[in-house]
Formats: sequence, structure tokens, C-alpha cells
Amino acid sequence: MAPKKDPTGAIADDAVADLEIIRKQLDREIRKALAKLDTAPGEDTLVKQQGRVAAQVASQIDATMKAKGLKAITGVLRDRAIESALAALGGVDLPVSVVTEIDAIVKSQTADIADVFGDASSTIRKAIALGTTTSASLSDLIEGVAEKIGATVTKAQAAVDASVMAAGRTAVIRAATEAADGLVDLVYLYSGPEDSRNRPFCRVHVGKALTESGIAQADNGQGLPVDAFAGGYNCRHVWSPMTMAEARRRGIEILE
Amino acid sequence: MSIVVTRSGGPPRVPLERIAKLVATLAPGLIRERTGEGLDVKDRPFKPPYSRDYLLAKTSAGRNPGVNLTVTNGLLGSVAAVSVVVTEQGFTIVIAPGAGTSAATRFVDGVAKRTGKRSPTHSVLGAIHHYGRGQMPARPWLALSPKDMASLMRQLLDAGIAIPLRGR
Repeated sequence: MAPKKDPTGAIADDAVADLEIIRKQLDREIRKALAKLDTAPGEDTLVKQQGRVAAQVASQIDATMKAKGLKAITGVLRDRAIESALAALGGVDLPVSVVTEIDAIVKSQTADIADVFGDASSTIRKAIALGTTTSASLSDLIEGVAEKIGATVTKAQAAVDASVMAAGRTAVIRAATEAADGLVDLVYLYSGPEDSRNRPFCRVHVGKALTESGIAQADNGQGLPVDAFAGGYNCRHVWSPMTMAEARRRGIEILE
Repeated sequence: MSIVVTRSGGPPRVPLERIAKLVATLAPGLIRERTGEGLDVKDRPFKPPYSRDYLLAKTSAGRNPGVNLTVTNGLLGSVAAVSVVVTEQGFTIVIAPGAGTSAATRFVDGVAKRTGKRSPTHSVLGAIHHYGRGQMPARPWLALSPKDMASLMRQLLDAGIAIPLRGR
């Protein structure tokens, strides 16, 4: 029997494809807006005119970022991630309440993306100001702006990845709880790379197992729920359920 | 890989659906753990070691030097039960890496940087590692090793379930 497509992965791919479309749209809009800098007539008034146009362009970019970029990416996260991520563990039904939890995770991600766009918008304003004061060529300026948009989209991709990972971790815990209910006590092994890139929280927890209440009490110091985000934003670690008795047999430290 | 259970005798104390869900919950982690520890499907260390250049790039970026198929953990983290089919005769669970991708990274000046591109799908990447391709040697990882299978059986016994499992 052929395995069905992993919907969590499909979301990530769809989201990345959508982000690429958004990036192109933003790029087009901003290039159009920046082209206005070319319309400032007369060399003696060039700097003054450019300054005024640059201010208009900057606010257009702000509006574009907020209205198109953020709205579109929010759409990607909400419309695609929530429902599909729930089906990440094929054949396992998850309680409806998980939708609410994952919705909350996605909402927190959109706040991060808003920050990303805010930063990019500010960087682009600076790039425009720099272009105006140094009379750098318009093409250089456009390239600079395009680079900033690219960096923003890369960060947004990271946010999508983090959101999908968070949804997956939550789904694993909920599915395991349901599977073991009334049969056996489970713990969750903090599983993943052990290297110098580990955050302090991950360094302490990797290779150890936590009970569900241990996870609920754990604090990654980043204000993010540990069950969904493990050590924090873009954490590489995942939860591997195992029976508490097996963890004890294997000498794994259990944090309750 | 898949895990197959064929029922024999009378009805089990625990319904097959429940057993299947429990196996689907427990098995992926065993594959992740063993592979992350650098052991193949026969519980032996992966061979051959990484190339000198790759190892240098990986370690200089602060990553674990062991051959464990892990940089972003996207591949191992995506391993899950992708299909659980229960019939009157038993159940079959298919365990595989996901069809998603990770952010492609490149080691530059001792730092792992996102390139802005995506990796091949985890299922393809997993197959490349498992079977080898071109200069990439085969490092069989996607199956329950003898120790994985023993652990799975012990854990089912913890739940009061004694059932014959077969990996394929």
C-alpha cells in the first residue's frame, strides 16, 4: 500500500510556494513605487524632490507590506496549516480541541511575521534614504530593496516551518495521549541533535524524558509553550513518546 | 517500512485499533533515536564516516560530528506513521519520513546558513540515505532494528499487550 502524502510536509511546500508568489508581488509593487524616484525633474531640485517622493514611496511600501504581505502570509498559515497539520499522523483522529490550540500557535506566529515585516519596512526606508542622499543609482536601490524582501521572505519561511513543526509536536502529544489512555503511562523523550548549537534548555533536556505535566511545567525562557515549540522558535528537537517503564529500564532520567 | 500484525486465536483483550494506534505512536521514535545515535538498521554504527570536507564543515559549524543523518533534524523529525490500516485479520502500519522539505542549509565560514532553497522531500532524502545514490553511500536506517523491535515488544507488554509483530 502506498503511503499517503504527509500533509504537514505538503503544507510547508504549499506555504513556501505561496510565499514565493507573495515575494514576487511585493517585489513588483515596490519596484513600481520606486520607479517614481525617476520622475523627479531638474538636477537642482533633485535631492529635495527625491526626498519627498522617497517619503511617499516608503509609506506605500509600508502599506504594501502590511496589506498584502502580512495578510497573504497570515492566510497561508491559517488556511493551510491548521487543518492539514492535524492530519499529520495519518489514521489517527485528534480531538477537536487541538484545533483551538494550533490556531493559537498560528496566531503567535503571525505576530512574529508582523515583526519581520515591520523590520523589513524600516530597513527599506533606510535603503531609500541612503539611495536619496548618496544619489545611488535606482537599479542599485531596487536591488537593495529586493534583497531585503528576499531576507524577509526567508524569515517568513522560517516562521512557516516553525509553525508546522509546532503543530506537529502538539499533534504527537495529543495522539499519544489518546493512544495510551487507560493502557499505559507514557513519557516523552526530548529527541534530536546534541551539539554546540543547542540552546541551554535543549542542552539540559536532550536525552531526557518528560511526563505531560513535566512538559506543561517546563519553561524554555522564550515565552513559548514547550509542548509545541520545545526549546523555542525553530527548535530542532521533537517529542518521541515511550512508555514510562521503558524509560526507566533504559535508565533515562524522567522529569515529572 | 511497515509493521504487520496478523491476528491469530480469539479476540485480543485490547481492540486492534487501540493496539495499532499505540504501535503507531511508539515506533517512529525508536527509529529516530537509534538513527540519531548513529546506528543502522542492524544496530551497527553507520559506515562509512562522513567525508573529511563535510565533517570539517559540519563540526566547524558546531554540529555533532557523528554520522547520524542530522543537521536540521528535519528528516528524522518527520518520521511518522503515515498510514494505519486495521482489518479483522490484523493491521499494517506504514512508517516513513514526510513528504515535506526542510530549509536547505550550507556551511559557510563555520556557520550553517539557510540558502533560501528547500531540500528534496524528506521521503526522497530518506531513500537516498537508505539506498545510497551516486557518491552518497547507502546508510540503511529506515526500519525497526532488532533492538527497536525488542523495545517495541517490551513497551506493548507494559500496556498488557502480547502480540507478534513483523517488520518488512
